[in-house]
Amino acid sequence: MPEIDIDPTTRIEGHHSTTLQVEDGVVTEAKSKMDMFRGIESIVLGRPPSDVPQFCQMVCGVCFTCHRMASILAIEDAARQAGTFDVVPRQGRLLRNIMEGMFLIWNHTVHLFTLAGPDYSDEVADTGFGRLDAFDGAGYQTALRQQRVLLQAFAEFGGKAPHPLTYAPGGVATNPDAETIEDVQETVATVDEWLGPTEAVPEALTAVRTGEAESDDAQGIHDLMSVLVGAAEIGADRFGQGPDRFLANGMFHDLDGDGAEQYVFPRGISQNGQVERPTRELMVENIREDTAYSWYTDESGGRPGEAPAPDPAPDKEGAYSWGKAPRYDGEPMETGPLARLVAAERDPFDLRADLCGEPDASSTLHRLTARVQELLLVRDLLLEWLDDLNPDGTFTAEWDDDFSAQGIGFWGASRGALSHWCTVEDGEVTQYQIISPTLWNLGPRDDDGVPSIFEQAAEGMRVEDVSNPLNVLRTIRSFDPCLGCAVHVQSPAGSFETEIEPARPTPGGEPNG
Amino acid sequence: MGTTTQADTDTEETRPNLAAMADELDPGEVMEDHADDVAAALERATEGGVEVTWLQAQSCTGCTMSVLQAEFTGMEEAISRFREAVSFHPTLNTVGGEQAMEHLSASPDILIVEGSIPTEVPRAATLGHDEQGEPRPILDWVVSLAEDAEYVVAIGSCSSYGGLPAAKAGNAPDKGGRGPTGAKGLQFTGQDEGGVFGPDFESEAGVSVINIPGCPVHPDHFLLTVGTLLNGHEPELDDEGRPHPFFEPNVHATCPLFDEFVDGDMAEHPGDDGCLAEVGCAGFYAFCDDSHRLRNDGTSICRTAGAPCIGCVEPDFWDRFSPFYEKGDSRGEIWDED
Repeated sequence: MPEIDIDPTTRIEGHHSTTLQVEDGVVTEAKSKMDMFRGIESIVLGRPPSDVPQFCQMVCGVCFTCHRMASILAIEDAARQAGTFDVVPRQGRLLRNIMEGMFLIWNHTVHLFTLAGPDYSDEVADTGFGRLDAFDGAGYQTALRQQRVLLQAFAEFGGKAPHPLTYAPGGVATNPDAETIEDVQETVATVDEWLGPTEAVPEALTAVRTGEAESDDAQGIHDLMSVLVGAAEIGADRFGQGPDRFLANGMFHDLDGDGAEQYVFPRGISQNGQVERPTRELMVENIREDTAYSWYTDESGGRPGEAPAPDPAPDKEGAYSWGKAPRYDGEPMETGPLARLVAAERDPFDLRADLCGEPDASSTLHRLTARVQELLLVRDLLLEWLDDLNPDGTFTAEWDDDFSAQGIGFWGASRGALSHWCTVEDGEVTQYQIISPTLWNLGPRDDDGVPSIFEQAAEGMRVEDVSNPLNVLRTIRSFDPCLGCAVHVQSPAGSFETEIEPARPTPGGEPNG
Repeated sequence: MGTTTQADTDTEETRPNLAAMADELDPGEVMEDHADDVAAALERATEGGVEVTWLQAQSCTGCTMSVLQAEFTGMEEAISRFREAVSFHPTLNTVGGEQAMEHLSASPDILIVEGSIPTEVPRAATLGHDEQGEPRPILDWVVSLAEDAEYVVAIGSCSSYGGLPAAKAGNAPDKGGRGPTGAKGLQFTGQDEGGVFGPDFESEAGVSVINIPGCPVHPDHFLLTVGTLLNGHEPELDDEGRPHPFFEPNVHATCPLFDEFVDGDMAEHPGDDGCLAEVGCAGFYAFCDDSHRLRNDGTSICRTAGAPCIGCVEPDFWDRFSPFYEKGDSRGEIWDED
């Protein structure tokens, strides 16, 4: 009995699995399965709007800021429609950007160093990048320490992390004093020094390509370049391709605007190489969720502003996921840092052009590269934002739960486009829907049987070694799915099955995560 | 109390009872001064001397992420290796349809569960497959693994008391039990004893489920409790199954804002300076040492950032304390100054 142990890079968290049908070394069908359901969209019903972000936050203990944020935006939007709320004060928007920015840097750090990084390490891929080795690599170990430091800074404003408590409808319910702000700046400075200056990127890339893994002043950036160079070496630009259709909700408040619907990273749709800027109304018009392959009744799908809370149907014929299938104008869309940078028409240092060829296309390497670019862009923004924070500022506006209206919170979570949809009647939430980035990227087939982005990316992939479809795993991880993953590979006769799990120091999640 | 971990003197008697130490010292002190002992205890599981299995049910993974935030030199590696060693981890097996799960101990000494257990819709949390090739419910896993476990540990409020998935589900279709999936904790459903295992459950060692609530769990609470078990000791539990030293102090009585309360300096909105009692703080009803221990390496706790306590260590906190920003009059027994 041949037995292959890919320890220490294996792990299952039970929340996601993928079944691949393989014929003649090629994946002919992929099914992406989400294995958990809790029913948060039901549990928030009947509660006061200001409590709902607290419940929604617990959708995910890895993406613990984004769901609270999107929920707050949905509720603020509803209150604005009802005329009981205007805008979050500028310093409140600034503090939200700071907290979301710290979170994004934390998330991308954990992802790039401890989840995806080991895939391109010396240990796994023979790349010579021993610093990326899981557990023992110096780069991996440093990143584990830095992620903790980042959350310490975050907790100064949030009270604790994971699951901070200060984001609230109206702004941020905290009043940081000068000393707290200084503490955060000092803590963030240690992370900043570890990464090194952004302008070191081109030099670091050259150095890493010539075999220099160590750096005096930009070790973090050198390690990030090692991930990308390692991924390029194993050909990650040539697998995991999506359909090159991207969706980005806006991310980070534009502080110079009037407070609503203006973002630092803009909203955008990209298809056929063209970037469009749809209006909010068009977004609402075009988004729907299908449930043909989901363990929910058929009535649970439809327009998120109207659909009832998902009603479980665990015995439904043909269904294979607790995730629903979101579609934009009938099409699956890829979302995430790559989608955001494509929609923003940005390719800092021409990194994607340099490493992957086409900057606006999609592959496993494209996703990794965009995540590195975004990490550095947001780090630089965060430093500016922290300088702008005023301890005498007003961080929140008056808030009243008593209104009736519908609202939507569109936001960019670290993993991509996130939206929360709510209906409030007389101060109680009566309808609620969440569409998470992982649903866009790794949901099931839609009502027409069209596979999701990841399912499409996996189909047609060559699997040299069915006992260890490493490139499939690398592709799953490139989406930074907020769930643990397992892959089942089946030959046509079903005579072979193996189960593989990617390394997941930040495991878990749920269909909504 | 011995703190040495050298092999020749390493016996149950010399391994520290970390929970008992915590009872005598200030919060935080055991972790600060005895981090090596905690790491050594974890290594007993990592190296296989004690079999530990950690399952995730209906969880958000916040408890796992929280444990990764424990801040002590060398601890991150011990935790990371521990987490790797004890997670569900099948060996790859290339035989028709079968999946070997040899790394997942079928009879762990310590079973750790994160997340609540869906009892009415068991398919709402599954792991691996059963003999028929169907996804195997976590419910089956926990029932079968708990049979021979010396200790069963619930990490976080969900596996302790049902948590968020067991909160009331508005006007959703009635599926029986709690939430839309009939979610329960291992030995509690909200404030009611029972849960998945029933009120009389005792693990092999003769103790009920050890609950370490919190949303998420405090990393110190988890590490010190599991470290105590790994060192061969049993923590003393309160009526809610919680290790005593960590869940005895009242949040209000130990609050950094207690002086403001005494002076009548009350916040009018969350985020304002002053005691948060008028804006729904659940500190009167909640019991844990976080006020002194703080979170994220002693950085802060909810109230120091202006956020009222939501009672996240208490059974049924989602329904007992929501609306979170209003003073409730049906929140349960109140802390009594006397």
